[in-house]
Amino acid sequence: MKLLGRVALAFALLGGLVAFTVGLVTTASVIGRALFLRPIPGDVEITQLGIGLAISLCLPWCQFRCANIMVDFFTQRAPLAVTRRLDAVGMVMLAVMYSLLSWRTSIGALSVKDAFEATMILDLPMWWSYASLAPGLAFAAVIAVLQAYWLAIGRAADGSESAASDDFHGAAS
Amino acid sequence: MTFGLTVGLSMFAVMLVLMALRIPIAAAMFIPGMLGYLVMSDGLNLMNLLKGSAVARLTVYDLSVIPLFLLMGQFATQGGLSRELFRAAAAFVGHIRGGLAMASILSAGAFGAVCGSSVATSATITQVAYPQMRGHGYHGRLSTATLAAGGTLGILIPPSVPLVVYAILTEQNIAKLFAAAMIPGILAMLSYIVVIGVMARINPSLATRQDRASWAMRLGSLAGIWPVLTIFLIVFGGIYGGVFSPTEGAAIGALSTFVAGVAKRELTREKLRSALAGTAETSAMVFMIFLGADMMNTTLALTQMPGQVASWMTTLDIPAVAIVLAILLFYVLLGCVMDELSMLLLTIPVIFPAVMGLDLFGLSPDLKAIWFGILVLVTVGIGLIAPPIGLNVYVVNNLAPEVPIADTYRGVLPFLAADFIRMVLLLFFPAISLYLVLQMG
Repeated sequence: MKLLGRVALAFALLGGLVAFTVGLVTTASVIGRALFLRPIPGDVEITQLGIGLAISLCLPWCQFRCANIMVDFFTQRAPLAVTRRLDAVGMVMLAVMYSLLSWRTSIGALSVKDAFEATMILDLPMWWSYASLAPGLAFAAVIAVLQAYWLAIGRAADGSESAASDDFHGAAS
Repeated sequence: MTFGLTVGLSMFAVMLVLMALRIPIAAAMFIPGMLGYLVMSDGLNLMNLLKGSAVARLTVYDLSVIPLFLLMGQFATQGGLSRELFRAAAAFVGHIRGGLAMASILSAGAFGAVCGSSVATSATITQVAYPQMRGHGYHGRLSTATLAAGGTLGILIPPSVPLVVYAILTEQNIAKLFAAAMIPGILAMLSYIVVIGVMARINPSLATRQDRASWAMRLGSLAGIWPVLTIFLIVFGGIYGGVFSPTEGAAIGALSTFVAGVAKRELTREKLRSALAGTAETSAMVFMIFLGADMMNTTLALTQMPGQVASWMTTLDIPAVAIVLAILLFYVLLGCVMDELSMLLLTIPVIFPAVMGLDLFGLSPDLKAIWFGILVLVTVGIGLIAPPIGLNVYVVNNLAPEVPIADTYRGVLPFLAADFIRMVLLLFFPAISLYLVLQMG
């Protein structure tokens, strides 16, 4: 699981860097527009493609950290063995969601590629934005399946035996 | 009952049960939504729909404002921008009884001006202010409750992630919504300060006084807050002035907080990693909720339930303001069992058209939408500190575990009272939120 976490973190850091780069391009475009009346052409398209890629790369880390928000109020008194089984079911459901989206998005990429669709300004192939989402979704699905397995056999989500690692959390707003 | 309505209601029921059983909210919406879709339509259509649903949600220009604002908040958090804010505020009000708690509120408000997340704001200000308050003999309950309530200023004062979500769901102008949130946000800040002052006066053992800082010290402390002030002025000056879009403002904000953190030598490699990982975690979580809610909402649209609820609400023989008040109270109650973001995503598509159909003070549709958005934002803020699942209370409790969570909930009650008063004021006096919007022209 250690390796899995490290790869997920690498994905997330890359995703964060992509988002940061989008910020750089956008800022450069605003400055160019303000000072020289020349924005970066297609900055909106770069943002769309970049942010989609960034978020999909962040999904595995969020899954690895069990940061998908959930309500634990009604099960606070439930024994650990019960909550871990419930969480296993939750992970299976998340895995279904990730894998369906990953699979269908890949199929979408293929059909868009065959149709030769492209963006307006930069003429970027549309299938790129589809294809860029699939790896993050697929990796998140793998992590969710492993977590479901560990939780189902009564371990913590990271595969360890300790109770201390059941630190579920999330931060919505 | 029509077939569609039966399916719609069953989906909702299954979703709530799943949520109560610890199923992550994104999946608790996605799975019933998907099954409902299979019932209302068929597998072939579902497979076609799913081909585009991730792209339709993740590669949206307007939504890119969310990760960028989150990045900005993370850089501000890791870059230590909150410490100087608290120091400056404490220099000015520390000598009043309860002054350090007031300083926490002031610095949370100022931090909220560069951070769109209440959780990040609570966590950041707690790390800075909690040790100071406890070190100076402040009561635990007052300290934690102040920090939990102060954290809501992260979203009440723009930028604000829930407000961005509302703007996108209702196709409203983000800049105008941010402008509308400004005065109510400052009002929230002032009301929290009054609450602290009153509590400290009624029960002087809750808080202490510090030595009065000299004017030289006060002016000196202001030197530390210029980065936050400059960033706020650039980002919001630009957005309100129409120089750049909110997404561009968020990009510039993220970049300038990064530069400020690096210039202060606070943003080390290690902290930079935490900032990126933190942004990744929250962005992914938010977009998963989007994806889950999308599935649910697509099916709900097929069942025609939203339209039926909306037309039912407009036939009610009750004053329009009372209906809005009922909606807000419903939100407060719903906020007790589910998280605020999913609450907005699931209910706004149903409730917003209904509200737009009501005649409220003769407001134009745009102004009505903005005014209602600010009211919804207040209920989100209430949900973040109200028992039984106030997210902010959990965040503060995590960082200050020696104060029992039940104590914090008790301490939060006066702040909640202030929130309810503000909600009623905003409900009956739309001018409070709309004044700045009208000034923008």
